[in-house]
Amino acid sequence: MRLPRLASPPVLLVAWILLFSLLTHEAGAQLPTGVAIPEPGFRPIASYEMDVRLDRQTHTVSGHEVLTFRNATIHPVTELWFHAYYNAWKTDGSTWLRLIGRTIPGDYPEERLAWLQVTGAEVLANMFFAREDILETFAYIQPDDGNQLDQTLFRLELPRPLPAGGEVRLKIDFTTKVPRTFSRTGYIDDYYFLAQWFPKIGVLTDEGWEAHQYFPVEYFADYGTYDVRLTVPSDCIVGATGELVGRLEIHGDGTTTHHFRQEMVHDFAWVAWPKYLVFNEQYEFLPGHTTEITLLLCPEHKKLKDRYLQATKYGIHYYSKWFGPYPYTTATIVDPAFNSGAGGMEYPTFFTGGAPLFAAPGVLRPEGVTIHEFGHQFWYGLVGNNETVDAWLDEGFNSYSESRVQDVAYGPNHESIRVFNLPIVFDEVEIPFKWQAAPRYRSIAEVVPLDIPSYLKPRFAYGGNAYNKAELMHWTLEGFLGWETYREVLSTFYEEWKFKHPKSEDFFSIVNEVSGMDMTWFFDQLYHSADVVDYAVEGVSTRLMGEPHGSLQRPDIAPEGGPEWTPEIRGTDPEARQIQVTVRRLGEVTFPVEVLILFDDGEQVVERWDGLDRRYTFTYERTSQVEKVIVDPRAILVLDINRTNNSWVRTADRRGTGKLTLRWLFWVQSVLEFFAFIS
Amino acid sequence: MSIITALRKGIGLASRHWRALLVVYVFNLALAGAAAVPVFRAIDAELSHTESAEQMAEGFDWLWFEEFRASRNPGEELSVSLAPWQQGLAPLIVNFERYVRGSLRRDLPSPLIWLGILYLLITTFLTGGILGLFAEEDVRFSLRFFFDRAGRYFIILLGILVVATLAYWLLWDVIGTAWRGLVANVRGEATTEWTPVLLDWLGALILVIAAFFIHMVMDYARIAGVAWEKLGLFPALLGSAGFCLHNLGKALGLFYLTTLLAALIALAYGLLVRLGGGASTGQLIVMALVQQGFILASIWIRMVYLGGQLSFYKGVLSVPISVRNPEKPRP
Ligand SMILES: [Zn+2]
Repeated sequence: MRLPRLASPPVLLVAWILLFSLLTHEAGAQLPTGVAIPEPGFRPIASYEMDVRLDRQTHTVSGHEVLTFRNATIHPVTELWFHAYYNAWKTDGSTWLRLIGRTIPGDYPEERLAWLQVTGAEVLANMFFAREDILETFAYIQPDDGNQLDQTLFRLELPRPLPAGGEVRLKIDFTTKVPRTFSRTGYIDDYYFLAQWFPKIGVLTDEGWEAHQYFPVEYFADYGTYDVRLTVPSDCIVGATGELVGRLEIHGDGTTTHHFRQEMVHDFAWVAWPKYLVFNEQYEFLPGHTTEITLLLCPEHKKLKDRYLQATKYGIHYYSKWFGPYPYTTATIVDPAFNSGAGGMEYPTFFTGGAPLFAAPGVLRPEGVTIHEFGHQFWYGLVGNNETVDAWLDEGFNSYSESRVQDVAYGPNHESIRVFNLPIVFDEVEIPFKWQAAPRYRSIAEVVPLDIPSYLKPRFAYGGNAYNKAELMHWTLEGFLGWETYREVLSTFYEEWKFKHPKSEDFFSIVNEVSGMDMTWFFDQLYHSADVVDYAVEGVSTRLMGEPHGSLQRPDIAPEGGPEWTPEIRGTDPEARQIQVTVRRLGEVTFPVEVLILFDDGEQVVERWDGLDRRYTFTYERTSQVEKVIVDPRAILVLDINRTNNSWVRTADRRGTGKLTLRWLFWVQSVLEFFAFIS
Repeated sequence: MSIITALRKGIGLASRHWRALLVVYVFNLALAGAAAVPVFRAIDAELSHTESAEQMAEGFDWLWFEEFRASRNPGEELSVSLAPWQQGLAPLIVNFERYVRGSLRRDLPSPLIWLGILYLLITTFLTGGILGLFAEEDVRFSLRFFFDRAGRYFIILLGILVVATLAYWLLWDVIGTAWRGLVANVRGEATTEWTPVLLDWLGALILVIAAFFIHMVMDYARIAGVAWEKLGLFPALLGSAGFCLHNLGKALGLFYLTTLLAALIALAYGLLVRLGGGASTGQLIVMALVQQGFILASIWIRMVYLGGQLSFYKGVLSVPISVRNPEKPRP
């Protein structure tokens, strides 16, 4: 979005307006705004023209929307389904409240509640329909769980079927009561953040409506143009999806209308707060590609301005470079008001970051969240998967991409703690981005596979699954296929699926196609099952060749096709040893791994193991000893749930143990002294 | 008596009786050292024979640490409290915050809490010895004398400890909890983080001033209890409170001057401990020496508090304090 640019709009813009009006000779001809890089074959499905007004006294937003909906399926349709997300916080017993285990009014007072009320619905005249009121066909529906108390989905019936390829225009009047913050939307004091706030049509597919009641997960909608007029108190700074159209209209009643427009997006969110600081910048993210970055910053975060902007630039630059150019003319970052609950969320061309009051350098906040939420412009915004069902397609892709940008742009993150609200950063403790998601994934690794629809996953496992496991899968694939190939996989996926709704299988086929390998075995094990990866060094045994070893025989567990057991070769050199290095597969998942064996004379051997058997033994004859064994030495398998057991070193190095123990000892001694200070 | 003089006398007493300091230190090291043995073993078993050992020696292997932490059994093992922030000055700052907020109990694993309580009882006992030494003008340190005095004053010091515990409970659990509730409420409706942060800082300031005040009054009660041997617990407490209120400015001045000295020592530690930041065994030894030096200095500063306050008490009341003069204190 852009903020009131009352002072001199760019010369180019003025020239455009003049030229445009000369050519058209139409009074009030509209400058096309909020355009995107044209996409051949793209046709909008759900476009909205809205005119709404914010009332801060009653915490309501009311007005109307004119929805132009195109039936892009092969069947006629009579019934239209709409989301009314705000109704999740209207009545006790809504599916959303049930699932998070809260009740009304037990957990929430009146002012926290919200609702969305449709007060009028009519079909407008076009080539398929005559003007007709259809409000009486309005009905709440609960296709997912039959919960009659849930009012988050409603339907309207058309007077006659809308044929395949046909278009209908509906005018819907509605009033939205804004809550005191639920799920990243709401108000606090005079801060208003509006998301999922209007009657939004579901996605119609050849199989019917793909629209779910509101579960505590994310969203799904179709692409179109949003043309929205927001009338708010004049003191408000407003940010929104898309680009500001024309000048602000200041009214006599103390309100101002801000007009935003954006093509080829699937949602619209906005924020209004008098206290925002506004920063605008044109940014050329790739040669010849420019976008306008707008930052709405809380006054208390003034010193974070450059960090926010730089992070956004890194995001735009690297995502565009790796996956494809960012197609929109604006990118608006909102630094949400403290305690507004709006932090860290994505909307088309518009997203929220978030930062603590004291943000230490070296700890990537606000950077991480800014890059993440910008990154959703690609994985969610442009590649529009169904977040309600396949959250991993946006969250997992984006967590990985975000980590990669941070890794390239900033290097590792650092451990930090807060003491008396102030940060202490430990430069020594570097958190590698590649492994960052591992602890959270491991804590829920075996709970659910990725292929269970997101809205049906246990809530405690949702993040570790859709974000963390998926991120580690991407890092593993990158390591396995190589970055150049994997980048091509992702850019192909982006190119083929932007402005569309891919499913997981669509991604799998692109992986296979681009890599030229059949990776089905990988997705079967890691997407369709909750099995885990765990390879380990079991041990090293050494025997002098000269020693009698009558009991030696090929162990039963020795794998088919493994190295031959050769007990009969006897020492030509009395110092010669038979060395056996045994590695194990402790998890159910099989994955080819490398095993590095370092001998104490400096010789290094890298073995390739298909990783299929439970146990595998490599046998050597050497006069030297094994000094070190590492399974997966290049750390490709970041999905491995235990990295510590991946290595074995003959010579113990106790310096680290000593250091940690001394540090702990000192801390405990100091704890004791603080106890003594009580006496 | 000026507070500078009292502090100098305190420093003199604490330094002269370095043998007493060593006795306290031995208990500190023995308890913490005993606790560190299983921690060393746990780390050793997971680290020393892996490729992370070298990285941990030269820096910090975050992933190894996360795996180690995840494999611990919370509540049962001491090693669960190993943390990346246990380096440099941070552990002292963390401990100080926990002391100020009265959250040592909440934030520590239970074996460490019990260890802390045990050490608290031991130091209560040893404080009797220290005060006994300080009270006698020119007695020479002997273990026999030290432990004799420790035993003699243990009961009254224990009584003072019980009262102190009650006072701290009131401060940390009643007032502190109420304040935290207030901060949480304000935080819930604030649109700037400054509001809860400033309020929280104010609360912490009130808590630390109050905790220090309780500590100071209890110190004078201990001193009175030792000085006037036949004095009961409550007269000692009342006498101490009266003394503190009559000499509020100077008593606080002395206390905060000693606290300033403690802070300077901590700062010096923060600078020195960097010397032991490297990976070599030599640097580990330097780190250990600096750490133990600081622990010795912490015990020393506790003795300076006692010595300084005892000298001040003595100077103000102008009576020779000695167990051989068991008079009633002046009103
Ligand atoms: Zn996300």
